[in-house]
Amino acid sequence: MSKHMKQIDIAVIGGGAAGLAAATATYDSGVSNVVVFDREEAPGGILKQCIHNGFGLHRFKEELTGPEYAAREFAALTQRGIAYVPEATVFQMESVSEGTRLSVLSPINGFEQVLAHAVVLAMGSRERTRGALRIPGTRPAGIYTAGAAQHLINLQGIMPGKEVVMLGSGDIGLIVARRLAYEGAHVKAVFNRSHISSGLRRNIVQCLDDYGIPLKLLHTVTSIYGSRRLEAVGVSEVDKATKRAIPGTEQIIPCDTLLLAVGLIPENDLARQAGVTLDPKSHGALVDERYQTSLPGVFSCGNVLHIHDLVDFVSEEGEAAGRAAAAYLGAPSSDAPAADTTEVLPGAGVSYVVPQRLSAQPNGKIPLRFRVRDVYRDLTICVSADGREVKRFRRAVAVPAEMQTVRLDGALLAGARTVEVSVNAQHEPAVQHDAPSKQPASCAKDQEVR
Amino acid sequence: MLDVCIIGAGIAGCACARELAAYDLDVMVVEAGYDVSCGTTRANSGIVHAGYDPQPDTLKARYNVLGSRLYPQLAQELGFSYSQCGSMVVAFSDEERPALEQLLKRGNANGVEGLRIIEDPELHQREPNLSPAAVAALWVPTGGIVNPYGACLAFAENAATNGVAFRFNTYVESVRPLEDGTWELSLCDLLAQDANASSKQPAGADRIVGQQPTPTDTVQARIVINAAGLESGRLNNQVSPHRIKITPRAGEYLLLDKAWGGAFTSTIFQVPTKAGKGVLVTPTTGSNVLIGPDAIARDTARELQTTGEGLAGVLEHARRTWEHIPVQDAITNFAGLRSSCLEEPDFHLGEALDAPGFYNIAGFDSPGLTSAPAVAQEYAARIADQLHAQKRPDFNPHRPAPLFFSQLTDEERARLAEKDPAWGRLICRCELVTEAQILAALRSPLPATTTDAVKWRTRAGMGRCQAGFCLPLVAELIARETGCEPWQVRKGWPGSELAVGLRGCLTDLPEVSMGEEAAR
Repeated sequence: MSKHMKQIDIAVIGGGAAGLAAATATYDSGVSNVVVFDREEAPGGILKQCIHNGFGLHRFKEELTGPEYAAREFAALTQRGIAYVPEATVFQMESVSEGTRLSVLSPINGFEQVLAHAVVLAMGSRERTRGALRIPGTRPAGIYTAGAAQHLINLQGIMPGKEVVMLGSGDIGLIVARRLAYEGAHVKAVFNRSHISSGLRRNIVQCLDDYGIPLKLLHTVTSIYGSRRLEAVGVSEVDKATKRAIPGTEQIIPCDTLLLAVGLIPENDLARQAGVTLDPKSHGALVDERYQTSLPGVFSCGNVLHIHDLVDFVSEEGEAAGRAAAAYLGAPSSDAPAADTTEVLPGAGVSYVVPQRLSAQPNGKIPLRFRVRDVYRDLTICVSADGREVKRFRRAVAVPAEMQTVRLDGALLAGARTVEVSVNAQHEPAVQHDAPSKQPASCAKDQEVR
Repeated sequence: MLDVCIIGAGIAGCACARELAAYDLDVMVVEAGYDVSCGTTRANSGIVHAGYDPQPDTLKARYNVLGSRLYPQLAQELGFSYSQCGSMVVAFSDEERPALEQLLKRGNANGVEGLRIIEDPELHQREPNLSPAAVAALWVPTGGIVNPYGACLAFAENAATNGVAFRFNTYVESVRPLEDGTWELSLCDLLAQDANASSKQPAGADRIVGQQPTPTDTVQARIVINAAGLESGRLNNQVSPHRIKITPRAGEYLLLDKAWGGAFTSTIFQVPTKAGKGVLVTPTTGSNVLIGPDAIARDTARELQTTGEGLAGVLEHARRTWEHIPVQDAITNFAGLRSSCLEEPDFHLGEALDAPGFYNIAGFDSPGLTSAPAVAQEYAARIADQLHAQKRPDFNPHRPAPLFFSQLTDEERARLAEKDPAWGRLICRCELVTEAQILAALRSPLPATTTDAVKWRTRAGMGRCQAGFCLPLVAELIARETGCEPWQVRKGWPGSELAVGLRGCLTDLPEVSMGEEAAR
């Protein structure tokens, strides 16, 4: 089989926002033998089911729906004649001396093995499930992740339920709550385990407040009732200090549907299997400023790298990874992240930073993307190299729901052993926060802390 | 008039059906659930016990050892997942060593082969993740693991292709003897009943029992096999003065991600202590790790919920075996029910007292799964003899193993996907299940009709995303094959539809005729 193995310059795994932007960028950097493998039937990934508007203000300077945004990205791909294979799942990946060997399955081409000189990982994320939360109870029909419910309503024209309770207030959940209410369902309440919602303030106002849906912080689902269709859930108060449900506070709420919007997990099963080093903090690959992973010639971008808040930033990151993959083909000797390069660490108040490494000579403006742990006002974001502050950024407010980006000259960081990003600020009493977000509602973000 | 009516399509009923299919007999299986293996067979530890545990000279000891010996060949003939991975009973202190000696003696008395006590270095060489506190273990080379659903389905499909009839969603309301020595069973069609049920009735499987199902028809049979699991006491007590009281005892489990599939190579039991029987940690045939069960008596036959305390208790006990259980990688939790007869804790087998022709397989808790094939072989021979039935020359004992894409070689994958695009279309990305596998389940001799049935047969939806991505696709395929709308597809039991209707079903917007609009 290996004798006949198809060879391509760059394989892009995933046909969502990150993958489409990456493929287009590789082409624009002079590489034409690029193939996008998309496991779905049509391009756009999760954007296809995000029929609300608010996408593209940064990238296209206008407000688009998810499908419109996806259509523009795909048009850019087809204009360039870049190959796109639908329903093509890459299910094995192995680093070999000539590049990376991929096993791909699709109805069009059947089973094939492909040798790619560079690979861009853009597989997106999956939703955290009831099983992962270990919610006890029975196992009836009517328990869905928010994204699955969104698929049912928007792509299949099916109403998942009438009396709905939601756990978690990630942005997908908030958007789906509004969608259900709009379609005549009774969304009884949104419960959130943490004292901070993981949804954008703007979405809480537009999707819950405007529809009279209560948001109950510091509450969680502690039991499930019903053996055919869901009949009720038990909801308990949560102790803010221990983050555990308080025994004796459970109230029974009759409902036929429970939706879970409790976080997204970068879908790195393929990367893990191939031996890509992952960052336990971001749950994505460990990359340098070129988005190169621990495997030479393998790049990662979008939600598979870390969970984003805005699709516009996903596209931007995809482009950067695509350009870097193209550059790698021009100079394949480029060093993979090595132990003697700069390590980028999250400091006080920061949960993770991407990239986690810098190459020996980081060029140009380097974006450092991260999330803060809590709600902060009048904060200072400090970037230090080997303990010495090199740059500080002031912000009026920062919330965990928003991804933060600071950009600084690579030259400032070159040669340091460690770079740290930290936050200096007063804690905000979080429940009343009103982050004045001018950013559009987004689909590509949802991070609830367990 | 049927020759044999088997009540219950669990492992006991289906094994009997398969063995009886070898004879020239008219056999039907009646099952309240929507699929095979809807009761006690579905959720248990999936262990083929070697037979060192039951007291000598009990029915449990006898059929356990016989059944355990049958599994390797049956797995070959019928194509279900089984692995003789071995098991060990671990002592965590010197005080627990005498218990190992006792089990060794008992196992030898029961005829279990290859038993021996092992210590370090062998103990931790075999199982490096075993707690350092472990000092010794009874090594049981003939212990095995099986996919209980898979085995049950294999028996049932083989029976069906050899002519046994199956009726699902059919509850046996009563059994009564007729004057001519045969039996009449009153049946209730649960799907029809559910269609008539008004929405104010509570959903849930309790509706089956709680609502007093009205019989819709009857069947008559010369022989009845009562393999009704949790309902077996109720049916026995309708025909026999020797009453059997079945106490449902729940066991709760946690299932860990396949990433931990290699953490243990054999089934790890703990020495029973005063505090309780302990919990097991075992690999599964699906390459997950299973942890459980506890033992909690439940009030009704259908309380299948897990509880926060129960799961916490399971974890606490299991940490004796595996100190650092990666709880964060649990993908699901579930409960199963044992159909135990606590008053007379042995199996209840043979014809019920004063009820000739009414055969019980009752009180069939552990090691029931292991014992079922042996009981079935004896029952089939005895019943065939009683009815003067001959062996059928055309009986086919083989059932082809279902193909799993994840287990194929690359060459087989290429060959299949080239022939049939359905083999090239991946539906479940976590477990690598193709459309062809799902279609095979939907077109089986006993077709899957629900998403749970598809999940149990193909593993679609059983992985780490727990059907988040594949559920809508599976529902589309079921709808296409069964001729319903995707929203009407059921998860399992009648009343478990995935959705409430089409978009717009909850809004009362006035209907606008597009024709009129256009005409203006």
